[in-house]
Amino acid sequence: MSAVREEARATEYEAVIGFEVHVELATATKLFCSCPTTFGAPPNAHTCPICLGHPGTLPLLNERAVEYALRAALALGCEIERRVHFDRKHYFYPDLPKAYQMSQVHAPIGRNGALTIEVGGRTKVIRIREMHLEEDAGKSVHLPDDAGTLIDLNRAGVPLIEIVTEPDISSPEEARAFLEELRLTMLYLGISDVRMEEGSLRADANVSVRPKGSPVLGSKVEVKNLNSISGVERAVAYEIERQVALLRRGERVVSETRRWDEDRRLTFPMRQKFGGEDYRPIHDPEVVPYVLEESYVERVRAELPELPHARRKRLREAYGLSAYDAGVLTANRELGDLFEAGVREGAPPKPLANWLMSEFLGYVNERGLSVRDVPITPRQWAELLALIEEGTISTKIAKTVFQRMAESGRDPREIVETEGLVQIADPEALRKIVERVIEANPKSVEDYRKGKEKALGFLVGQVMRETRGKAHPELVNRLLREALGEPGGA
Amino acid sequence: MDDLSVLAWRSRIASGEAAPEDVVRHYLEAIAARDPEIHAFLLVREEAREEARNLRAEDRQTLPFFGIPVALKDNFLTRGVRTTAGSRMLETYVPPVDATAWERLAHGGAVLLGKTNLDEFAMGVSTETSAFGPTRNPWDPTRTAGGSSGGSAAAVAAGFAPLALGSDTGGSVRQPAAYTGIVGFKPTYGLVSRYGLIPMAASLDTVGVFARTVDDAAYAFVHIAGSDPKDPTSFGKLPPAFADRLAELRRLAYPARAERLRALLSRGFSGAKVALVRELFGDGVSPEVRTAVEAAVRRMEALGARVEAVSVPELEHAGAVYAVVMSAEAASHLGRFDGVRFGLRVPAGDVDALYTRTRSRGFGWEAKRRILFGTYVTLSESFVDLYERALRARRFLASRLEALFADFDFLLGPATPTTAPVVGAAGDVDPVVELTQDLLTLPANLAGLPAVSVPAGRGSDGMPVGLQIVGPRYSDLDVLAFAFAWEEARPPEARPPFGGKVPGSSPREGGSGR
Ligand SMILES: [Zn+2]
Repeated sequence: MSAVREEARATEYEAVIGFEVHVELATATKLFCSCPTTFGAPPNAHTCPICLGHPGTLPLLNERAVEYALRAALALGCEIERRVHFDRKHYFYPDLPKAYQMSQVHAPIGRNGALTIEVGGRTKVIRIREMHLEEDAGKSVHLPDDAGTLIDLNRAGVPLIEIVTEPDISSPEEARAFLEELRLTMLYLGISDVRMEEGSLRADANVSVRPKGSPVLGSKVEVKNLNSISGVERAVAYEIERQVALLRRGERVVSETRRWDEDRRLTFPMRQKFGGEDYRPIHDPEVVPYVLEESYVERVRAELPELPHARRKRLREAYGLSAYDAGVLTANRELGDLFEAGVREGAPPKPLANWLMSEFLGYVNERGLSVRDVPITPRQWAELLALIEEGTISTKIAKTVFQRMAESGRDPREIVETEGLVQIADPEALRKIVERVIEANPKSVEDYRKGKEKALGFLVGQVMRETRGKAHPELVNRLLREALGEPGGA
Repeated sequence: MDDLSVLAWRSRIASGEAAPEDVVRHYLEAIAARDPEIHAFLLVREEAREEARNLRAEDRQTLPFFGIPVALKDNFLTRGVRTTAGSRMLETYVPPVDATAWERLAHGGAVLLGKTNLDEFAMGVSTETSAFGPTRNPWDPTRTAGGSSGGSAAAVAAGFAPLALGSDTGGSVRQPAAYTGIVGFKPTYGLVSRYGLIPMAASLDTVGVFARTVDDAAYAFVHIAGSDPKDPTSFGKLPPAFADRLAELRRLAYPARAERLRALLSRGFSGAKVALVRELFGDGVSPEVRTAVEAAVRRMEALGARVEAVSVPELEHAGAVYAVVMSAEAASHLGRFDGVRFGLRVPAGDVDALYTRTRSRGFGWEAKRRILFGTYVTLSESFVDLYERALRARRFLASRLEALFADFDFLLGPATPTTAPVVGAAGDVDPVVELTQDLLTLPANLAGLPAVSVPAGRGSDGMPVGLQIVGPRYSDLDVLAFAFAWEEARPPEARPPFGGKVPGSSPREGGSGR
């Protein structure tokens, strides 16, 4: 009672947020059978006696899934459980074929790890309590008007890792940053597609608030159904506000599970599963415990790729990039790889970063392509930037050259030569064209002389058109002004 | 005495004296004549005649089971052939795959004669929990044939099949073998693939063999043993010496090598060090059984075995440990029978009611009892106390038994405390009574040890008595060799009256039937 009043008296509150994140591993086959895991097949196309739970069939552990989980655990800096075994978590649900889920209750593969995130220029360490391997359940489809329920077991038995954090996150922005960083880390590890909309990354947030500085945790609310990263940020923000408002009114926060409604932008209480949370876990007697040899763990550790956090830091330090640029290049692993390869071929880092982030990404995004779909090699990038730097082509022409390169994969120098795109920087050659343009556009010339600066732009454009864009733009500008005299003059 | 043995049939088939269809006809006729009284089978396959006819004649010399009819306990999956596990739940279940143990016999040319009765999901000691009624003992139909593999045991004992497979979780092969006077062998855990065996408790379940002679059992065992990629618990690396010997025996495909097999098995008694474990020979053992087993032990001693009494007091807890581990796993395995994907479905308005009605109607009393008990021992508040402790106690017990084998080659004792009880005597099976029936056999399951029940003789009530021989892990062939030595050495009065002498049956060679 007094605690409630104390909470109500507080003027400032802080949020305490933890996550339980499920990541679907991108193995070719399921955790305990050889059914494919590809998304989008017709219902129940990817099932077999094992994942349908037929009696007498036995689980066959997919060692690739163990390796992926180990990779993730090592990347998150976890202590590794050397003896891999599984426990059965029992509950009845039509999309759970065996009436138990194979999971690691007693000995998760990883414990006591951490993930470093960056928010608003600060870094923060989010502790990982544990990370374990388990199998997914299937999907129930409820027909309208109580016409029945259909079950699709394609997903049943697909390997997942569940990552449980300590409640170290304290704002919606941090929540977003955590999930983005986790997602990116999984992508770098090559162990998951991490597509939230396809369910290969699923996050549940545990949100509570308390008077700022209070050592006591508030009532915990679990928020489910978060299916986009921006949705997570909104849901967490909503939930914090809701709880603070309750406390301010002197009301209690009920510890419960709530669902996020993305359309209405609010959370609402979920019906509790009947039978409580006692999964009666027992050691699975059918999966032989699997020992991760020290040498194997060390090999997997040695093969870990550079992770996003380290890469951002290195890009800043090695190439003098801004935090923003380093962030963009790292957020798309292939783009970052392309950048680094281009630099190795001699491209100047900062201009290359600009080209990749603006012109290149624009091209790719407009067409719905991925980085690898564009046939420009790192060496060709270096050449293109060299052409600009040495003044052979203008930045404007370079954009044209880029388009040609992207479409054909041809070398930039060859494009420039065969298409005669070399910049015209010879004043004598340009002067003739300038005179012709002045002749042909008396109206604009008059406008300019009356002081309409805009008319000059039109005339420059005409010269550029005549030269098919090859004229050196500043030179044209200067020549035109010389020929026309000062605006507003006689 | 082994007129109807697998090895005898193989010789006759190989030499052309008998055709596979003659063999099948012989057994189908025996079944037709007497199984209505015994009820060993839940399903008899007339198709076996046709399948026997269709065997490729050129394989008769090379395939180890060419033309041999086999009966399978109805918890082995048989593709396209109904498999019920003795339960209403699976009354119409037709599995999509074959059990590996059966597949290996079938690849060896065996013909599936039928599926045999069992306690529901192998939960019971007398086939009386079968949803389809009990099996009766061919020696005396007022008595039980034992369980849970009672149907397979009765089939071999009554001359309905020369070979049958069963499953042994706590004694379900050795106990009915003892009651019906035949050989029942349970291998080291993991040596025979459990793929396709509907589990009762996976960490205890083993595939066992019923045969009329020890060499038949050994012959079948060596052909079904070995790792199976479909069963990870069978992946275990075998001790090299054992693997070599297994391979050598397996090469002895029939015909003409029966003598080599016998020679490889025959080791005699001299130098064998045998422990009589007091706790496995205790007060619960009836005078019938005690007298027969003690006589057997004395004879072995006379023939050169060194016998010593020992005590493993911890075995007193084996029953409790077994009850907890077995029921926890059994309850877990049975969750999948929910009416959603296969087996019985009792329709209902919502899913909770669907589960409740399906499971209420589908499971018999014994299955329900074990589900409740198994659920209880795994509830989170009891979890640490019961289930975890039972697992630790199990490992401890196993290590105590293994330690005995530093000094002894085998443990010896009765396979059952009494001869076969009267059907219905157990009535509403008292769980405690049931445990005492398993008490002599379940330690081998807890420790994963190979064990055989071989006929020791008969009690004064005229019923067979089984002698149990237990060895260390991977001593399967030595256990069988020791059993073989006993089979050769036992006095005529201790021989069960095989062939023609089982009351009411008239098995004769060549398949003329009655
Ligand atoms: Zn599957």
